[in-house]
Order: sequence, then C-alpha cells, then structure tokens
Amino acid sequence: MTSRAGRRSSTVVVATAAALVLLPVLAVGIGVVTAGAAPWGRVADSGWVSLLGTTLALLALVLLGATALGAGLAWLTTAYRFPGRRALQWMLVLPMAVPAYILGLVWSSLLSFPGPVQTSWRAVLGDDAPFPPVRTLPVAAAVLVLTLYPYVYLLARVAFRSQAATPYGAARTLGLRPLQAARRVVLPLARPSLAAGALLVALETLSDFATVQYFGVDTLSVGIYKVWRGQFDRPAATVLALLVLLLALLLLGGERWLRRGARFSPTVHDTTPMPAVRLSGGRGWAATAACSGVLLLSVGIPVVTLVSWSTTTPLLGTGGSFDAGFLAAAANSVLLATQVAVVVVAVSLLLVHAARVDGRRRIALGVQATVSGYAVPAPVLAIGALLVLAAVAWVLDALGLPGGAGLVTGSVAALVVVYAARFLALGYTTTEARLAGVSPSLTSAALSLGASPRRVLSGVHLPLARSGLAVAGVLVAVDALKELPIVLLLRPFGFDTLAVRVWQLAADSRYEMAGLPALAIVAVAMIPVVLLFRGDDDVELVDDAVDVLPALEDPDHDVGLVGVAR
Amino acid sequence: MRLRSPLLTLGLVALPLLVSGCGIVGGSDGPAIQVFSARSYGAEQAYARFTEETGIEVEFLNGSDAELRERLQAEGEDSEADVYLTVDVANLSLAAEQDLLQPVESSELEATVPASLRDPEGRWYGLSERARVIIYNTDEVDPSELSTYAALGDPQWQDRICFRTSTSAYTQSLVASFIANDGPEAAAEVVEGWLANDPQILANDTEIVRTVAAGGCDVGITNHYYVARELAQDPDLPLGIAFPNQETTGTHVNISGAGVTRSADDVPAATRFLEWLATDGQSLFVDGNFEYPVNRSVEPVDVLREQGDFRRDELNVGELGRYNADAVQILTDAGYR
Amino acid sequence: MTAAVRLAGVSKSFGKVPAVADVSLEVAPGELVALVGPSGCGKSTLLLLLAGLLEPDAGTIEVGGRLVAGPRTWVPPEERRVGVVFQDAALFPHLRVADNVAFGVPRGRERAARVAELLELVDLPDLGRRYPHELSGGQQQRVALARALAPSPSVVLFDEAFGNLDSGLRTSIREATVAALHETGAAGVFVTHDQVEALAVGDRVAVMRRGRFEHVAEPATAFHEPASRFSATLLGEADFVPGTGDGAAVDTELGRLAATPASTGAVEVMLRPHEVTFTPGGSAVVDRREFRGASYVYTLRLPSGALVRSIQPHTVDVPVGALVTAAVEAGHPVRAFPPR
Repeated sequence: MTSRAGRRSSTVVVATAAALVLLPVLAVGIGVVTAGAAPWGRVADSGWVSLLGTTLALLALVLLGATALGAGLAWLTTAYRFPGRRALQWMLVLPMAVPAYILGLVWSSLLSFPGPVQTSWRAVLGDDAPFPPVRTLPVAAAVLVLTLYPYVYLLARVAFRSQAATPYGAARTLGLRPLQAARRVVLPLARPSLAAGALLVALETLSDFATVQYFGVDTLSVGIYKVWRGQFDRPAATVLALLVLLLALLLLGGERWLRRGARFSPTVHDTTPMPAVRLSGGRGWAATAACSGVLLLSVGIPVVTLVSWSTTTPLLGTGGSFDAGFLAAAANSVLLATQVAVVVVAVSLLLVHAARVDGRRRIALGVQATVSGYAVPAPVLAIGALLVLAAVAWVLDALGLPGGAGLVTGSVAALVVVYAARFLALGYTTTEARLAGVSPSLTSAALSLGASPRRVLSGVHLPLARSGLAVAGVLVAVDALKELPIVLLLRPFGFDTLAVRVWQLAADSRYEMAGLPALAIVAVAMIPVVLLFRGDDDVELVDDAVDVLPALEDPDHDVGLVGVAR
Repeated sequence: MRLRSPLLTLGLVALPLLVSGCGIVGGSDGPAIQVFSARSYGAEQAYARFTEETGIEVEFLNGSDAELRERLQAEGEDSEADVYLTVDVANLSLAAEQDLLQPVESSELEATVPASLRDPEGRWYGLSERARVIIYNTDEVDPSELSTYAALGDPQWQDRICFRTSTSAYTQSLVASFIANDGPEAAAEVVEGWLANDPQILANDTEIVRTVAAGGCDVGITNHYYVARELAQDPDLPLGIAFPNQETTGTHVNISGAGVTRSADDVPAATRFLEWLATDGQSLFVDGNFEYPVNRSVEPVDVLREQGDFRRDELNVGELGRYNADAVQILTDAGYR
Repeated sequence: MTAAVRLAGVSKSFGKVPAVADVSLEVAPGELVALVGPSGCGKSTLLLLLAGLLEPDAGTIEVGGRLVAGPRTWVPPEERRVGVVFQDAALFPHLRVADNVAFGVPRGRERAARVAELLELVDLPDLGRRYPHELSGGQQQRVALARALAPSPSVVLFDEAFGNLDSGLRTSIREATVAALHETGAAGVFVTHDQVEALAVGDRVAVMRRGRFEHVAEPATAFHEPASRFSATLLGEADFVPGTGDGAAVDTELGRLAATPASTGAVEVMLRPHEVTFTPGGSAVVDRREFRGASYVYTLRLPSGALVRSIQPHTVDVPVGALVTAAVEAGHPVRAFPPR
C-alpha cells in the first residue's frame, strides 16, 4: 500500500536519527578498544570498586527517596483533600525547573560551616554544638531527590488517576483501609509507572557530576573527571564512562523487569474520580505543610538564596553580573533550547509517522535505537560526539571539502544535533503517547483513500499529534536549558550559555555572580512548566502533559538499548 | 500551528541551523586573536586595556583547563585558538608535550618572567603567581606552631584541618611538588599523615577560608588570593597567612600562564598579548584577582604587601605537570576524597 | 423490619453542578432496585455515595439500620458492608481469580472454603488459578460478583455491571446474578441505562433524571403508569396522542379510552406500540414500517397528523401508504398527561 518512495524516505529518516544516537556511542567504544589493554590496568588503579560502590549507594538512596517522595506526594494529592491542594498539586512539579547542580550549589553553601544554617545553629546552641556532617552521601542524595522526584510524581499521578481509582474503590468496599488499599492494590498497579519514573531518576543521577562534587561524594562520574582531567587519561576515563553506560543498561533491564506485569494493567482509561478523602483539621494542615515543605526546600529557599546572591555586589570583576556577557548567555540559552525543541519535535513527528506508515521490523528497531539515546550518560554522548565530529572533519578535509574545521571547532549546528540525539527519546515518547490513542486503522484508512504518506503526515498525523508535540517541545526545551556536560564540551568559540556561566562562576567560588544566571535558568525553565501544568484536577491538559513518559510503560515500545539488542 | 507539508517542517528545522551555522565569529578589521581561556573572570579590565593600547581585538572561549586542551588537541591545525591560557600549569605543560603550543622567542618575556615560572623552550610563560599557603584562625593558632605542609600531619592537628578535594588541580599540584622535591614515597607519607588527622575536605577554597574564619577549622591550605579576597572585604576577620616550608623547599607556587598555539594565525599579535600581560598589563592582570606578579618589578596589591615577602619553591613549575598524574594516584590510593 | 438501605434527602454537587439532589429511597432486605436513567443523571454518583466512595453534601444514608453518612457521621467504605460490582468488572489484574475473591474475606481457615463456595455459586469452580486477563468478559463479571459477595454484604451495588457484555451473554449473566443474590439474601441496587435490564431485574425501578427520582415503582406500574413523559419514553417506546377527557374517559382518534388519572379537557394519552392495533381501510396512513425479525413496527399517521406506532407479528404485512384504522387494546387504563 505504501509507495516505494514513501518506504525509502521513512528508512532514511529513521536511519539518520538512529545514527545520530548510535555513532557517538560506537565512537567511544572504538576508542576504548583501540587503546588496547593499557587503560584497563589504569582503571584498576582508579579505585573503581569503591567508586562503583559509592555510585550504587547513591543510586539506591536517590531511587528510594525519589520514589517514596514522588509516589507519596502523588498519593497525598490524589487520594486526599486538604487546604491548598489544588495549587500544590501542580506546584509540586516546579522543582523540575531547578537543575540539580544549582540546588546542590545553594544547599552546599547554605549548609556549610560558615553558612547561615550552621551559624544560626551555633548562635543558638553555643559554639561547640555539634552539627551533623553535611558533606556526606545522604545529603547529596537528599538534594538529588528534591529535584528529581517530580519525574516519579508526574507518572505516579497519571497512574493513580487513570488506572487506580476503581480498583482502589473496590478494595475499600472489600474492607481495606486507605493505606492498606494503597499498598495492596494501587502500588502494584502503578508499579510500571513508578519504575519508568524511577528509571529517569536513576539515569539523571548517573549523569550528575556537579552535585556529587559539592558534597564530596566520589561517584564514578567524579572518578571519570579525576582520571580524565587530573591524570590526562582519556582512554581510562572512557572505560569508566562505559561502566556508567553498563549501569544504565542494567537499570533499563531492571525497569523492564519491574514492569513485566504491565500487560495485566487495565487498558481502558478509568473515568471514575478517585474517592478523595477530606483530611480534617490538623491532619489536613499537616498535609499542606508536608507539600509546602518540599517546595520550600526545593524551590523557595533556593530562589531566595539566589536572589540574595545576585543582589549582593561582587567584590571582584569589573561590571556587575548583569552585563553583556550575561545577556548574550541568556539569549544563547533560550535560542539553543528553542532550536533543540523545534528539531526534536520535528524529528519525533517524522519518526512516529515513519513507524506508522511503514510497519517493517527494521523501522521499529531503528526507532528503538533512537529512543535509546536517553540511556546514554550525557558525558559519554558528548565525548563520543566530539570524536565523531573530528572524524567527519577529517574525512571532509581528506576529500578537500570545506567546512570540516568549523564542525570540530564547534558550531551551534553540531551542538543542536547532539542535544537532539540526547533528547529525542523524550520527544518521541511524548509524541507517540499522544498518537497511541489513535487507532492505527486511521492511518490505514487515510492510505486506502489514496493519500500519499506525505499527505498522511500533514493531514492526519500532524494535527492529531499536535498537543503531544507541544508538550514534547516544552519538556525538551526545559531539559536543554538545564543541560551542562554537552554544552561544556562542544560549544563554539565565544558561545556561553547560562548553565556554562553558572558552572564556571561556581567553580571559581564566585557565588554572588553565579546567582543571577542561576536564577535566570530557574525562571526561564519555570515558565513552560507553569504554563503546562497549572490548572486544577479537571483540566485535561495536565493529564495530556503527563502522558509524557507513559509510552515508556507500553511494553510494545521498547525503550532503550535492551530493546535494540533483543 | 498547522504546517502544510513535511517539506515546510524540514525548512523550519533547517532554518535555525543555517542561521546559527554561519557568522559565529564576528568580523573585525584590525588584527584579532582568539584565546582559549580558563581564566574568565577578574581580568576583564586588563583585556580591554590591551585592545585599547594595541588595537588588537581579543576574543575568548572560556572553559576549564583540561576541556580546552582536549579541544585544542581534537581541532589540531584547524583550531581558531591563538593563545591557550590556563589557571594551572599541568595542562599547560601537557599541551606543550602534546605539541599543541609553539616556542615563542621574546626577550621581553625572558627578561620579566623568572626561569622557574616558564618553559625552558619558551612554549609557555607564567603570567601570574599563586602561592599555596597555610591559613589559620588567629584566635586559635600561633603562627610559630606552623612550619611545613608535612607538619600538618602532626597529631596536634587532629580534627583541626580543612583541606581541598582531590579533584582540585591545586591539591594535585601541591602533591606533585612533594613528588618532584622528595620523591613519591615521601609525598605519599605526607598525604597519609594529613589523613591520619581526619581533616575536613571541602569543595572550594573560599569555603575553607570562611570555615577557618568562623572557627570550624583552626588551619587550612588554600591559594593565597582566596584569603586576600576575604580580608579585602573584611580586614577584621581572624585570619592569618603562613608561608610554609620557608626553612626547606620554599612555599609551593603555581601559575596562571599562557602559550601560543601551534595553529595560531597571528603569532606576533599572540606574542604581543603575552608580553603585554607580563609587563604593561601586569598590574591590571594580577590585581583583579589578588595574585602575585611574575614581573618582580611590579608591586603586588596592598593586602599582599602587608603579608611580607616569602621564599618560593624554585622548582620549575613545568615539573608539576609531569607529576600531576602520579599525584592523583597517590591521593586516590591514600583514600583522599 | 430494618431497611437494607435508607437514603433521606441525599444531595451531592460537583462544583456548581448538582449530581444528586434531595434523593430519598428505601430498599428492603433481599429487594432488588434498578436505578435507570440516561448518562449523567446522577445514578452512578448515587451508587458511589452509597458505597462510601463519595461523601454526600447533605442528607443521611443508612445501611442495615446503621447510620453511615450524615451530619457528623461518616463511616468509611471498608466498614459499610456494601459490595460493589463495577463496570468492566474492575478485577485486580495482578491477582489470581481466587485471590480476587478472597480479597475481602478475613484471613483464616474458612477463607479457602468461602472462595470455593462463591466460585461454585457463580459457576466458575475451576478457574481460581487463572488471572483476570485470561477470562472472558462474562467470566470476569461473575468473578466480580463473587468477590463482592464474599464478605457477606447486606447490599450489593451494580454499576452498569453488564453494560459491556453482548446482549445474549448479558441476559444469562443477569439471571445468574439475580439467582445468586436471592440465594445469599443480600439486597441489590442495579444502576443501568438499559430499560429492559431495569424492568427485568428490579423488584422496583427508580427512574432518575437530573439528580432526582422521577418515579419509583414496581416495574409494571412504572411501565404502564409512568409518572412523567420522561419516564414513559425512558422505559420503552411511547407515543403521545391528543384527546379530550370528560372525567370518565378520553376521546381520541383511536377511540374512547379508559384513562388514568381521570381527566377533563385536553390531554395526551401515552400509547405503547404493542397496545396499538389496526385494521385495513380507514383514514390513518401507514407512514413507515421497520422490520424487526419476528415483528414489524408500523408508524401510522392519524388524520390529525399525530404519529403512533404499532407492533405487529411479521405475518401482518401491510405496505407503506395503505389506509388503515387504528385501535387500542391495552387491557388497562392508559396514562393521560396534560397537553404540552
């Protein structure tokens, strides 16, 4: 039914997108292999066992914390009514806009010995009053939990609201108290969603290399940093990076194992409202306080701190922090995020379209490979991309074609392409989730009416996926705003973003100057988050928005390399 | 938004790419140099003055030492960079070893920069000097108690010290100096001695300074200018600076330095940039960050002058780069975080 | 005797939209009441209120003589002894059939026996080890019934419980359900939008519209003497023919008819198709006819222009356009309504 040209174009689209993601990983792998056995010996000296142990401990704590907090808050705001619930239930998504490295910076500074918390502590309790140690793994984990729990929260809410209401009600009428019903029925049903959220949290934790340094937690990413930058040993660093990738793959496998029961889940969307219980008096206010407390720690206090930093005149440097450099960085950040969002949305649509009009297995495999991009830790992707770009430049040079130099020297175009590779998964799953509810027979119907694949794209798939595309665009833009490792490594000459500025100023202990760009990131990232998620529980957009990750739950959509390997 | 056709979609995608692909570097008429700089803040005035005085435009790509060197290497001959400017010698000497920098003959530089602070082959030059000093809380410690870096391993300092993390180039470079001066075993012994005293290991020098000032630690090791910054802001802080190893090897110093890249298009302009920073621009370049001038005819800022002169480690700082990797290994093996 | 369920003045609004308004109802022990109404009439909300899955804004609810909701009183669902059979069965997908049925039964030695007994009752004795997704829709519905009955509730609520089954299956499941309910002695409240189901299942039928009861009565009464035109059309096909009452009977184009209530002046009487017959020749015209397998439904246009339907066996074969005379064979007084 599909024309040969149509099939060829869908193959090209999918193959190109998959290459974007797989080539950098491949390059890293080749780099390791060609370096021979030497790096492995040096990796052995890096104390990788202890690094791995620390990484696993951090992962465990963050996963536990983020899942408990995310699911707990989702349950609280879904199954109970208490003062301020309507506002709090969407505001609880806001920490998503605060990058972990900024939250880590703020809290490591606030909690340090000379910081305000310990200073007041000593003022009240005396100079010798012991304060629990701050630069520890649990504190680092807590900071990560505070910015990462929204992934679990969002997915858990969707699961609770769309699948759990009736089973929960059934369990209640069968004699179970609310918490018993939550444990015996709601949690098992929401397990696939929780696992998908936890997976995102885990991958973010693995990628983090800033927060852990603020709190002196030696994870694998710190080890990579030390081996690469201190011992100038990129091959050994790459081996460590592959270890991180391996962990990511194990986590993907774990997630798939956890959602093995997904096929039992009810497929119909449950329209019964969740029987929310009104929490009276003190218990209601306690719930309000719990939600506000989380927001205060993750957004309120950090924003206030950043405001105070940015209004303190810095001792050093000529201009204030609000100078031409800041404006340029802000403009670059917004521009880059917008471009990445546009590219990702467009490619996602083309991928979804290709997978729909062309049912061949290789297309499905290609799409899965593309979506695996988000399992690749950002630094690995960045190093790999650098190697690929260098190779491309070398080939261009060898052929006597111009443009090679610009590629490696870094161009915004290259940056956008690598970002796109990193965030395609997010865009694709969101778009696909929107179209998942549209019967494939619609595509067949359009094709049978004689429409060309191109007309099906513009006349059927695009209009139907529009709301999904908007959500995808917003989420990708927010993530692109926060992104650090890739832009640090690949940006072109004179190209600073807000994230880069924050990182450099913070590295130089110039907190006052880092305050403004950090604040700008949070503010800019918050705009789309607010636009997307604000509204009360009757607003369908909230559910639309959060149908986001949901494609991850669909066993037919194997996300990640595991799917590819199958 | 309703897009008429996929071609239009592709057009919309391609547009920003095309726009951003071109015109990254703004054109200018006069001579211009591009600098890969790990030293992005505190010297803005110096750079502006340089352009004013010489008519040479300067453009920066800011980043960290290692990252910029990696990039220089990846870009090879195609790199736009003319100058590589770092805040630590290790990456600079490694860049020279990797043949990313070219020798520069300049009698002006040779005359102003002490031999221990530049590459014997002229591939890089120190432009400012930072000393790794012991700081102490004047309410708790008498400076006579302080002598050498190694002496902080003495049991009297149990639970009283603040150190910097092992990821920091400053920590690595200090340990590299121990290796260069006394060999790896001695260096390892010093590090183990420190750790036996259960020091707090903090993520940045400023936090160390503020912690010592607030009484959280009695002593610490930091770069001198972090103390100077704090003292300039509040001279009444109970902070003292002690220059260690005065009776032995001299206080460990590192440099902020620069070299001209292999790929430089305009070697004379790049050389001029280095020369100017070491001479006419020296004060502006170092003062903004409270560093010591490499040009001994230039006086340091008042806060530093008040601390008096001190004996420096005369070891060529290039040696530090050579031992940096070993230093990291010693720190890792000792379990220094 | 204590009512199994008693609702008095129960109201519930969502925002400004009243879903249930001032509803009162009593269900006797063992009695089956069918709640019927169009979608959005509030019948499912009423069910959730009864089950304790929603809190009423006003009014009181008693289950088995015990006040479970009212001012200052709130008994949570798990303590109400109210069973619910949901639309789509809502079985716990992660539990086996036997575990689903056992879910509401306290742990103990009796549990396994109770589960076996209930699976026997719903005629699925061998499926305990299956997972819900391995069962057909009808089987799932029967498991749901067994699960709801397992804790021996005093009343079982059915929320469109058979709505998703195809019609043949629906009848047999319905009969099995009613039989099982009678066997256990539990009262039942069926929510449905299907009038055939409502009339067949209910000992009484409650017609609901916009959050209120229009009519609560035994099925025959509700069908033949509906309280409103709305009830009339909801419970079956109905036509309204104008006439004039003189206190004793009503004169219509189909003849003089005994009517209730006794009316004078202009009225409209409700006629159901099975009550209307016709003979060849006359002043009414066959406007349309619809084949229903065993029967034809003829639509007749009366001289006044009013339309009335007549259901006839398939042996009565009259072409469209034929002239006929319509008559009424109701066997009871027809329901008269004031004219619109």
